[in-house]
Amino acid sequence: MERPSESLKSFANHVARLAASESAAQLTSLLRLAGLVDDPSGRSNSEGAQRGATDVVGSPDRVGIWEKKQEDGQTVFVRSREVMKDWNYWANLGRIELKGAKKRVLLIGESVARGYLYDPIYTPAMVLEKMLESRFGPGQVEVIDLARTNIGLEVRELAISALQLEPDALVMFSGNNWRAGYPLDPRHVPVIDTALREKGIAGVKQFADESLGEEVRSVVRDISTAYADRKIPIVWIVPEFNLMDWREPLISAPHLPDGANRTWLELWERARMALENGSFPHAKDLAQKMLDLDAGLCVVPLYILAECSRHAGDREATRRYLELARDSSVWDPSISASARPLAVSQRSIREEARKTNHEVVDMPEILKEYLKGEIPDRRLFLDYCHHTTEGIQISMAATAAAILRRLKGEDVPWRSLVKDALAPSREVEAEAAFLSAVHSAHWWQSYDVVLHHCRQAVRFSRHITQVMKFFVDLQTRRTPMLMCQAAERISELKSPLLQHYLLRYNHQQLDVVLLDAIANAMKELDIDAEKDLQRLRQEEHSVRNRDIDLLEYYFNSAGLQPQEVMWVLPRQDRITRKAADYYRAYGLDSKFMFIGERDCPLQFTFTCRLPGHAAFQGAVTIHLNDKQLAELPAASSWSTWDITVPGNVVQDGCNKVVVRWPMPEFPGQHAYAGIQNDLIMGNIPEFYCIFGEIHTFTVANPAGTKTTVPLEQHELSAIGK
Amino acid sequence: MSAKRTDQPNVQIKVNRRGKKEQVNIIGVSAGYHDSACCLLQDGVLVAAVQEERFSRMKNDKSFPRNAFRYCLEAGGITIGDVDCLAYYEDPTLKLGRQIWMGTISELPADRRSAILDRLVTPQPQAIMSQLFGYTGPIEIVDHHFSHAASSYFFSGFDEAAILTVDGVGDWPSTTYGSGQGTQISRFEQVDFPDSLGFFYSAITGYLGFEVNEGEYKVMGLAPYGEPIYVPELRKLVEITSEGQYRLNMKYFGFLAEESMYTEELCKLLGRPPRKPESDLQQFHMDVARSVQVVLEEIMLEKTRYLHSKVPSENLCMAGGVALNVVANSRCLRDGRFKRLFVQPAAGDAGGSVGAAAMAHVRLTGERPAHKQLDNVYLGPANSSDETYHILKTSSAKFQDYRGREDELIAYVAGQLVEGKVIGWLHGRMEFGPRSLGARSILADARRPEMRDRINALVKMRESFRPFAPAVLEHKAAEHFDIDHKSPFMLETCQVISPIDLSSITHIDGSARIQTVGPDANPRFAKLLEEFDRRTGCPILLNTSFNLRGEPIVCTAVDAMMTFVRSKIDVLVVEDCVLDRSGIPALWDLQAEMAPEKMGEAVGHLIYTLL
Repeated sequence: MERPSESLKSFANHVARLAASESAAQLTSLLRLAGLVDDPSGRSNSEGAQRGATDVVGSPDRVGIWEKKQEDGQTVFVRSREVMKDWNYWANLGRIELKGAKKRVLLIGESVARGYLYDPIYTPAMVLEKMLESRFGPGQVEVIDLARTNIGLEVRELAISALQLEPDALVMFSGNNWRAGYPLDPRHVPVIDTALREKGIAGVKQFADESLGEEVRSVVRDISTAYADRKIPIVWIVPEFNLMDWREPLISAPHLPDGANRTWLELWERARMALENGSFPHAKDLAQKMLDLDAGLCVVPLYILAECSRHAGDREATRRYLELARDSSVWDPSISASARPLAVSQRSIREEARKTNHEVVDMPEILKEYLKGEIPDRRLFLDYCHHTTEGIQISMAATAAAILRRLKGEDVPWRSLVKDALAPSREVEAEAAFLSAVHSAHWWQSYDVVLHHCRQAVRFSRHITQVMKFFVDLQTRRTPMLMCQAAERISELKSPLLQHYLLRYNHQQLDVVLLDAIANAMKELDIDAEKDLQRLRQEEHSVRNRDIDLLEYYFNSAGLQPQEVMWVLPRQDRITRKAADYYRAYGLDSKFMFIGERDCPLQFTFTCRLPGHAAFQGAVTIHLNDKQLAELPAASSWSTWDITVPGNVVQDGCNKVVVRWPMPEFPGQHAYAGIQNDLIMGNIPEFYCIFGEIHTFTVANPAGTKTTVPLEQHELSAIGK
Repeated sequence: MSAKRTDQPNVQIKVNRRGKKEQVNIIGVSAGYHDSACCLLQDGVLVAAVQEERFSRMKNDKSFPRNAFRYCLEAGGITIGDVDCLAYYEDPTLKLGRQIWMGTISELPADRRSAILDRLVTPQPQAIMSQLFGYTGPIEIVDHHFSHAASSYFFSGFDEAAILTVDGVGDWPSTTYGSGQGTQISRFEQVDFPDSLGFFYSAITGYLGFEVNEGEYKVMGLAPYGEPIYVPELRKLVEITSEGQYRLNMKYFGFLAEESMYTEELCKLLGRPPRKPESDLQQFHMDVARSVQVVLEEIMLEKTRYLHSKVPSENLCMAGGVALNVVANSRCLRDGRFKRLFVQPAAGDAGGSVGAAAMAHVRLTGERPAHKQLDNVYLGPANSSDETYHILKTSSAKFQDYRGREDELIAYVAGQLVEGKVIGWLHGRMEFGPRSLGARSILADARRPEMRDRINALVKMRESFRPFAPAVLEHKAAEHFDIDHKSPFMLETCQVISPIDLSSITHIDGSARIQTVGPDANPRFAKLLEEFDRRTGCPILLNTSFNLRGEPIVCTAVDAMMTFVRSKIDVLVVEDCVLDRSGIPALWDLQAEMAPEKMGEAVGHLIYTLL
């Protein structure tokens, strides 16, 4: 390879100087996206991303994590060590044998189909197999569990590769993880860019809805056709959502045209007060105005409208608003929304599956009938979309009935199959309910919901109280979770559920809602965990003993503000914006918690700034336990404040700190340029207004923290010795 | 508008706005290429420096150093508003020019050209830092090799010196010749990309089956096992031209356009195919290693002589990745015309952050940064002894608590070392740069010939030919090594002259890369060496970095505990607590397996990440 000409160095430097500006970079990107500058490699981001994902789930020599092997002249599928990291997401199944005389039914889907929080002890595949056996006879049918937690639209490749297993029928229980992904397919960027210019973020939502619909139709069509060609019936399950009890965190609207966010926020405040006063028609009127402004981009007005409809006894309207709320986040990759079946996915499954004459188990319809018109809730769901035992039994009974119709020609009412359905032990139910409480709390659900699951847990089995005590201990320690004694104790219980979910997917946080709910639920059995919890919190986290960084995940997360905590989230399995390494407020209030002791004075150190142009100034107020401490002038440059507070406003235990930001100057459509730029650059866009930013927020004991741990100390512990 | 306190009845609240701290706070940043890092210079004093990899746990992390930046603020007791200036360690526009120039190669593969196009749409570092750190003040851009030069000269303690920087590439230059005089650094000549001694050495590193930009020191370690029989062939790779110039013969180098540092022509020249990574090392590979080392030393010696002819100082400052070749440095000092040599301990790109900050300090204040030779690099985070105790106390670990009993701790550890135990040792602030110098170290008895293989088996899993380094009491160093001055940073080799058999730290050519330890820089480590000497008559310990293969050196007490779990080290000393393997709770294995998610950006090792 010859070196380039020396004479071109000066030219290259000249180009670099011109290129080293933001507008030049943007122009280059736009020209590239428009196809006016050839990408020399001819690559496409989406192709690359998709290839990576599909390689894991299916190929000609592999079905999921199971690779094809020849053993004694027989073809078997054996779990591949190459993808060992992925094993946890699939059924604990070492090998899949050659198809024998048994009828073979495959079950494909995501975590709902895995039986999340019951798996591996109790799964939909087990329930379905048992139901089918009751009709086919023992040992005459097998259900191969190919469900994978977190799988998305790659179910297409999995289902098609699964034909290698020679199934007699396929059950597709999928659709909860079907959302537009980021980075976007570069081909879509110009379209979204246009939608944004013409219709604002509502245009982005419309595009997301339409493109997801197309994608789902294509997936359903491809799978349906591939199986229809081999005359293998498919049962498509249309999944349902926990409409009644699952609530998204209440966040502000994204950038609205003409800076309408200010009006929107004022309406929200008035609607909130109207609800508090029981003035439902007024609240409804205000929420409708909010909805007119945000065009369905935000859950807040939809929840208010649902609440007003529920109060008015209008069940259908309640359902409709809750469905709209569920679907309102389809456009938004910047927030961490839980899995859900969107209406467009449900509709597309129904329509496409019926075109190829496959079976459809329509869970929304079935549950509506089962609940006699009531809206699905915590009776059937552990969280947003994962079913309780009752939900699993109903969905699998309806599925079994459809399979029997196709494979046996029998028309069996699904309700008759529920009666003798497999059920987990009360101990397993207790553990699943407790895990559901943990999961729900960490997805910002209300105290009421979390307490419900905790109470369910202790009612199912008293043994769970021991687990709860251990959990309170490990969750409150500063020591990394799995290094705690309490984690050892949980591990010694040898529960697969606790081992799998509690010790793998938990992160320590102050967890006020959850730990208080646990303590409250334990009271039902006359166990006083509250005292131990308070003692442990003080021992580990009291500001008397150590300086507290309120921006740390442990304390920041106690504000229950998901957008504000993303930048310090200790996990990467949710899509997050991590472009800024400091706190950004997405609403008028920023909330934090810390552990204090009455009469222990405090010193806060607070570095903040306001976003926007340099001229904008405003007052930031700081509140401790609902008492205003200070009003601070703030501007667009960082300023640092020390606030010393006497001990008589400090509470024993949890203390709440609120930072209240001034109403910003909302940029309206001027913000779209930033969104477009992010889209062009392949970043997750910033769709929301920032109200304020914090770089430092600490609280300390001004007298100096205790720096020496006694050489011989009495260790307080919730778990005892 | 002024601040208002909002007094409640019986509540007296004080609200004070902090003025900006009076000292000049400059944060130096290196990122985007290899080993990103931050440092803090306060009134010209280097008070903190750390590589991002230590936090992200991604070896050679090149992402913008968000954690290192936060650490520097904390270490300096300042907030973002107190930062007077960010100093970035290379000129992004010059670098972009070099990348665009590469794109003009007519037969450049499509993916390479596409990658260059990617660079054109990537935000500039200034914009990234502004958004990531929330910093809106001035940013000083310092040319890559000026950063290297400053990182050495301004911390050398010399009033004046000749300066030589040599690395793979930064923006345009790969080698620069210059001088330092008081507050001024000047450059009178440079060698530009693609001619690069760093790439010359790295190409052979890749050919020998080691990771480029990571395995160069393995080649250096392998060299003494070989004979320089391929020197004539390897001389063909570099044409020495006039003055400070040299020119690579590009028919042997593939880095401009291929996913390899070298071409097929090199294989033909040496008559063998490249070595497959992890395959057996043969005499041929050792001979090539020796030959490349000899050629490098020849060129370095000639160029330092040339530099001396232009800058006839007694002092030489060196920096850049090639300056980490301690054997070549020692030869330049021994056989060259300079009397004194200073090499910045983090001579690679991480250290560029320090140089950039120093240059910015001069530009802002007109003054030289603290005029004193850098005497230690314990510039990273520390762990609290009590917090460490607390972690262990609330676990099921069985451990010994030596808080407040340092002498007993030292006696215990010395006893364990005498018994042949391998010790994981964490104490005080972490070292900046690639070497463990007694703050995050694995220690063992250097007299035991089996120790090299044992440590390799227990933890390092590295090639058996590579020697371990010794730490020796400063005042006794001359009794055991042919050295008459301090070597606190493990940046020099010298001959072992000890009456004691020190085979585990002695290289095949009788040399050792030593660290001298005095009581001022690391009192506890010095005490341990004293106690070991008192018991054995040997003031020397084997000292190697506390990490597993492919991982960064440990930073926190928890990192040390988890590395201890995953290795087979006998004893862990973490601040004032000691645990042995029998004290490890069962569940710690799971915690170790679920080590924190890595947040950084990995660096490719097939080729320099030119882009």
